[in-house]
Amino acid sequence: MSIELKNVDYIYDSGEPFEYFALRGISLHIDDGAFVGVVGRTGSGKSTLVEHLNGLLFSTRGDVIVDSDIVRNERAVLAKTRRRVGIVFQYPEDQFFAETIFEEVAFGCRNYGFSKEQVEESVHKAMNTVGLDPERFLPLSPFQLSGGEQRRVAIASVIAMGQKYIVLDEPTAGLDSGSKLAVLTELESLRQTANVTVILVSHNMDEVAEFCKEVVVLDEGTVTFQGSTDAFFRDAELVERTGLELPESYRLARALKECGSTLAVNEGSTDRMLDSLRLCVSDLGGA
Amino acid sequence: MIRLDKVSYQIETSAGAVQVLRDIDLELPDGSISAIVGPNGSGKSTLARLVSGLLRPTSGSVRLLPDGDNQTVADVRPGLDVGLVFQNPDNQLVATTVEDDIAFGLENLELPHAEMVRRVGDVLHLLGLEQFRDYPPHRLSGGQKQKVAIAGVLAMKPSFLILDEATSLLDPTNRREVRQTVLRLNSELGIGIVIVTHLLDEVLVASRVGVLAHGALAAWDSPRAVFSDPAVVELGGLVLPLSARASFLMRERWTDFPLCLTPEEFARATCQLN
Repeated sequence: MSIELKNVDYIYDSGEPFEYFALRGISLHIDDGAFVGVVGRTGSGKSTLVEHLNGLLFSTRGDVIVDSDIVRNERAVLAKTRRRVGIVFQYPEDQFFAETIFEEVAFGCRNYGFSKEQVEESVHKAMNTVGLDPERFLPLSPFQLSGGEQRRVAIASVIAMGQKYIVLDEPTAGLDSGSKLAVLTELESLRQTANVTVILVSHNMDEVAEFCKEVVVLDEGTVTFQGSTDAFFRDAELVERTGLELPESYRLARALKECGSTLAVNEGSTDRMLDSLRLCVSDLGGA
Repeated sequence: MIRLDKVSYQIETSAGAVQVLRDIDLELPDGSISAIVGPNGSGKSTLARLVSGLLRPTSGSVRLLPDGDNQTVADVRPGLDVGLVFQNPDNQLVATTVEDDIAFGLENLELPHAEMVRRVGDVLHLLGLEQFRDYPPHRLSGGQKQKVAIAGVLAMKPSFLILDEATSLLDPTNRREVRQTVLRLNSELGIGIVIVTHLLDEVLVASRVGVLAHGALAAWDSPRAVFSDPAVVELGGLVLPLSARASFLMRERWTDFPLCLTPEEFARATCQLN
């Protein structure tokens, strides 16, 4: 089971004088249980791409296939697709409407016909996943929270539905560093324990390097790179050309190399880099 | 300078009064760059609104003091002395063309037409937005929109500019561009800057960082001092930069290894060992 895109074009205002290719010839394969980053500058087609994954947009040409079903504008197919793919949009908190956080988070679950007990359980679990104490927060109004707390409630309301593919469009913009790390760490554990596939649209290269094993790089509506995150960030020139920037660990490895240091560190995640540095230091210590 | 004396702010909710900020003492010198950090919900945006005069403190005062003059004090006039730029430029742009948008605040001041035209022209030039004068703002990129929002605020000739997470929705290229623009306004025009942020790069350009935690100021110090204190880092919802963590690791072998905040600093310090 997987998500697959075959030669997908999406044209805004097709046939009109201002027709505009938002996506052009996109072919992608996202495996079950992957943690994939989608990166690229503003206007490169990231949001348009993810809106295809649960049938909010339909390709002008080409197929979007979720678990071997082609996503089409048909009631039965859409119901099935949206049961599989959940999307957390940018500014999800703008869509709050309920009087309590419990009602807000429970809304989607109820739509899917969860029993009362299932709703209770899913809501509590989702709140814990985003690091908000259910006892304290569930009775409150979502409108009395800070921006960062609202974001986490919005993420919880999607996670609660228990879809197997979770797409997040810049979920950490505006979160403090501690909450950012907490939310992504919880998503990673959700991936490991429940085999949820996480698709993360992000402008933050440090978090992409830390959490995403693979990346899809978009530029002007086309895929300029798909593969291991490490391979992408090792190509500093490509990173620059696509309007992105190097994560801190890659900048650090490069800076060390440039000044001719004898310390050689591994890029990638924080732990990987610090472990390799620890090894270097203890080697030097023995000399 | 802007001086905050024992500023507290509280809001009434159905559950009773909530103390958002308490006893904040702060001095923001003219032409300085400061950063405000803190976990979500710690009161950063409330503080930004108090400093800009959009909110009045429940107790305490926010005053403007001319440089070198401790006698003449005045309340901060909202929109005039301190300009505020928000996270999402779409919430701040109101008109159908860039030019009209920038002129919006000036029209409310009832300035003579010639003066308005001059000021709009000046800020368009300053921010490199001349070619977009007649554009509808929604056709611009995120970074350009944010620059239009900054331009509208600058046209009011404030002596301070507060950016409340103004780059957090931008891509790396746009973020860099907006940041460079802001630094230029500081160095060329001497405008004081207050950056409310979660981003390390933006903390590092400040000479002083205020760390808010639970509505109180937990620290008001240089970025290096802030990151040297694990308790403050924790309170402020910050995460140590990788280079700082690497520096602490180096100290296990070289006890006087400096605390480095960027990869470049770290590389330099390491090479001085060899």
